Amino acid sequence: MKKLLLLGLAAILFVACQQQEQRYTQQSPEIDTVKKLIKNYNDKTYDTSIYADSSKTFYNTKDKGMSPTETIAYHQANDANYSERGFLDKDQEYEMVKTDDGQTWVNCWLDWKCTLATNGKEIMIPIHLTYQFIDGKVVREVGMWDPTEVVLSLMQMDAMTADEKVIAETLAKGAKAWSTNDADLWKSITVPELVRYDNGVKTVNNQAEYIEVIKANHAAMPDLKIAIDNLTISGNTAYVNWTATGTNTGEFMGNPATGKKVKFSGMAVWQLNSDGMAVREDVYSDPNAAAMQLGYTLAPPK
Amino acid sequence: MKKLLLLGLAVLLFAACQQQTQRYFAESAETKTLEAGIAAYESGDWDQWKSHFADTAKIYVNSNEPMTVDARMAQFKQTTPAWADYGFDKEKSYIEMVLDKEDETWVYFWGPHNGSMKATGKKLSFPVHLAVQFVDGKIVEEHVFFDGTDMNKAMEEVAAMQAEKEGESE
Repeated sequence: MKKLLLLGLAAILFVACQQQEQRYTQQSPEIDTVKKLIKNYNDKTYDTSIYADSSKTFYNTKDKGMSPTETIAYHQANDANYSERGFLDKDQEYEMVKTDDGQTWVNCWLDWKCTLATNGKEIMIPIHLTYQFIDGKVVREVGMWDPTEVVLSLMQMDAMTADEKVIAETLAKGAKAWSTNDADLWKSITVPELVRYDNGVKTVNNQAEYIEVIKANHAAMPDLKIAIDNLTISGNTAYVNWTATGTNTGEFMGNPATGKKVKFSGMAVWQLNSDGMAVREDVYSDPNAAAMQLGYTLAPPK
Repeated sequence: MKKLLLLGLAVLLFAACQQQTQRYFAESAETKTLEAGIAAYESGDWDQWKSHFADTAKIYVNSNEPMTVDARMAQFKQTTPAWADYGFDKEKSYIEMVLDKEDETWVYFWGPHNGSMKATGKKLSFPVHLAVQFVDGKIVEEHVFFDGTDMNKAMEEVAAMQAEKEGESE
């Protein structure tokens, strides 16, 4: 009898122990559900069944809750503003807590990044999302972040004339063609007589040569990406502040791969013709910036 | 002998249970500190507000780029005088603390920030989330999340009104 009592006591303690553990966790079916929800958003495969029918979503508001269908419509409407958008995989934090009221919440802190469709501008926003669960379904979603940069960029685009919008879209396509090594897209926005000057020196004589330049850069850095940081348009001239990032995993100008990452910025002045096609680019950037990040050094003259 | 073994097992389990760290706290010294910091922000007592931070603390305001405590304080000193009143709705705020798997101490706060502008009378309300890491009772990292669009607009209106007034008096 005593044995049984002791065994019972041990069992109770063991169960109590297990229960105590449940107040905070970084792994749970609910966390997996939130990760699925984030993946659905990234893939644009929206699924209302993750939410309970009566669930309410509060984004940057405390009293204007949206139903699951309204939430998805909200995302779809915003998607029109971006050529790319989604939550990043890196440095994302998820955890689940059980509050004193017995409520189950999954909290997450994520980085979201977009490329604006109209001008190719890249914007990164840290976002906090939190989800209350009941019986495995989301019953309340709360999100907080600062959309100021996106809002201002879109307002800036709205203020543009129709011609300026066309030019901005052309340059967004240009950045995309550079980033994806897309020769056809490049041809669709440039004239065959396209020329390029680097720091005042003519380096490209025609469109075909320019495409070879893009190709050679991608051979050296297959993950090369060109982002537009800022864009100013005056008549048929566009002033583009850009940032290039990439990893040197291939040979470049006869030099072996270094495996190093580079990030450098510059300015490009684009001339467009009356049809909105690019005819000339003047690039101003530090030619040594990337080389030095790759480990090259400048030697004094002998 | 068996009895002893069982007793031993029970004791072991009990000890293990005690050792199992509590990871969720509805209230703690750190939650109280953050609440005191929020109260200091509301009353504009910047010395008090600053006293809760470690010297090397990093504050991330809707950004992955940190700012120093002094830079954040300078920002508050510049912008808060534009409000006629401001603060969090305590009734609708929520605070908790967790000890995460890396044994880091984080206090989380959610609350509606309300206020009105002195010059325009414009009323504002937006929810704010704070994720605050503590080491030895001091804040070492603070992440602030809120939609700044309405406040930026309201501040611009105030600035435009002041510019207009200055123009008239010239």
